[in-house]
Amino acid sequence: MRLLLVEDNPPLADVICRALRQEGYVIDWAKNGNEADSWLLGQDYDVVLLDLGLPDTDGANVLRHLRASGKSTPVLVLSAREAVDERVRLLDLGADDYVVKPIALNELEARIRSLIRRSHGIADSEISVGALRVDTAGRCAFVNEKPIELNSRELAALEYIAIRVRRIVTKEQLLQALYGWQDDINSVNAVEKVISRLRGKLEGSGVIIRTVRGLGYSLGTDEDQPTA
Amino acid sequence: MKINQQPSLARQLLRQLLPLMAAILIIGSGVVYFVAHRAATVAYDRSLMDVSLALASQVEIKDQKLHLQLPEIAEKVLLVDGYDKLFYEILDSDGKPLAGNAELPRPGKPFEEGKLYYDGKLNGNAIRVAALLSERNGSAFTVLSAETKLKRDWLVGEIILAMLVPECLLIIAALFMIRRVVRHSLLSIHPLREELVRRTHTDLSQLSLKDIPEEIYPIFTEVNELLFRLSKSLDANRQFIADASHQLRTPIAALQAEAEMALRSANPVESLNKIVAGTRRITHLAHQLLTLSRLEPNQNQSFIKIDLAALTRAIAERWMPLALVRNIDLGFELAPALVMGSPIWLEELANNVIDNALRYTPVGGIVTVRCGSTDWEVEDSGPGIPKEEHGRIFERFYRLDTTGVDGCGLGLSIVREIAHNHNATITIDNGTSLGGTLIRVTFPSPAADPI
Repeated sequence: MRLLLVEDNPPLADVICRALRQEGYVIDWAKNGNEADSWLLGQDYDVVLLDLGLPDTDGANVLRHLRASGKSTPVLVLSAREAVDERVRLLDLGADDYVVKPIALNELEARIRSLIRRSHGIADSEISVGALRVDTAGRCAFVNEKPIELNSRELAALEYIAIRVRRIVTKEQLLQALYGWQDDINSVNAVEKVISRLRGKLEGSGVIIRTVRGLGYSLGTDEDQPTA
Repeated sequence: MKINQQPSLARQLLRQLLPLMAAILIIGSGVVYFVAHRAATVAYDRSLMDVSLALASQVEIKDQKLHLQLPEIAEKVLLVDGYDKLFYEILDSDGKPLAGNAELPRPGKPFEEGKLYYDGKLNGNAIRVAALLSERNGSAFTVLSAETKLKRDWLVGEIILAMLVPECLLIIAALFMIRRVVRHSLLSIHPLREELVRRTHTDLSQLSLKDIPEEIYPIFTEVNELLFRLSKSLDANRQFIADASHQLRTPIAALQAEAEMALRSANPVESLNKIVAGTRRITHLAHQLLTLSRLEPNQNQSFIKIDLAALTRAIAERWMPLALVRNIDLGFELAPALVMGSPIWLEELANNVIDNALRYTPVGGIVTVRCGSTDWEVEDSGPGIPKEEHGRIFERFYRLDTTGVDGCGLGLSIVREIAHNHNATITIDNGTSLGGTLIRVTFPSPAADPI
């Protein structure tokens, strides 16, 4: 999952980035409205974390530009302003959630997970595909109720395709979701390796990651036919 | 008993009007008495003289002697009066009584055209006498008619009463009206008073001055002015508190998140170091906020004569460690500069400008602090501040978009407030010798200062 953090306070941005990377997210940091706008133009994010008091502009303008470009990317406003009318203003502008600083990391992470699920029409924090169950809140996965061992990148990849079950996920999307700019990955080989490891761990469960030649991957069970 | 110490308009009016009205009443009564008495005397004297004339016509000569021929019925008609007792006496030319029903006082003055009126006493009662000189066939005689003064006194009394009663009524009515009008016109401020009683300490909206009498109107416009100033200062304070709490939340959020990271981590040293740094930043922010809030009401500090060179020399040492850490060549060019000011606040001002320069000048740069005459300035070799930002950098919490610089955005607004309190002006310019920013504070000349 790829997140964009728009925050001008370096210590806060730094700690949020470190915490979310530990959780397996790929996170980009924009320290002002201008940077945020250009990140959002060139990239699709799963969630945008948006501070309001930016040095060059009001965070609301970043949200406005994003919505004007037709993107429905979930936006979580992370504000120091407590006033109710400020919440209402941002929610009306198209923010999906609004939290007031300071916020516990656990809560921030839970809200991010919830936004990601909701953006894919999933209300539950657990996704089941055949014998596979992915617990996005507990950050673990089970096959036939037996936990499978996954590193954070494998888990992120599995979550990414599980949320989009029976839909096609391109290698490019997975690359963006799993690796940040700083990871210095410039080929899709890394993605293929992660998928191949996941396939090994799902072996015999009836849950398969199909390759859609020329396009990417699709998660499903051996009973259904890939759509495409 | 209600003791009211405040001067009362109604009482004051009464105190000034009452003696005046009493004086007018007394003088008026005197004049009325005089006039009424004269009118009564003239009117009743004439009818008393008629009695004397009638009596004189009844005097006849009988046996060579004067004789009063007064039938009983005539005596009744002449001498009976509803109010007063009538007396008469007829005297011959020698003054010996010829007839009469009483012994009346004799005239003491010469007659005028044969007639004389005078006052006298009979049996202890005041009487009025009308004397008439007359003659019958060459024999002269005097007729005296007298009456008690009951009806004269009555008439005078009635006239005075007719004057005094309406006058007294007028005074009473005036007193009553004064009270009423004063009360009534002050009644118009009663709704205002009630409004003020109902108000909470946060409601500083303007008072409605409808129906306020002209005489006290200026008081209320002043009250409104004061309310306006109060509400402006209250708004500023409210805004300040909102800004301050907003600005505290972000570093606190960073601290909290960092603490949670430390708890999650097996090796929390990195996080703990960041927590320490974050705590230092919050302490600095709290200090700056407190400085700013203390600055606001302080406008009339007692200033003393200060040499800015000595003041700068005294704080110079404090900045050496930061300059060393950032490898900045911090230099001083100090000439005597005498200004009027508060040493504590001017130190705060100097510290903030120097701190700002040291933070925003890139590593390895130069910062020079200068003073002389009535100027105090700091120039740096930093990147300079874009012209369009010059106006904004003194705003609270405004920070140039420079990452990696640790500031809370309050330093320069503190500088501005202190300079403002000292009637000093701040200019911000591109320095000529170091190529960076030059911030100059120009104080008024101490000689020109009226203190």
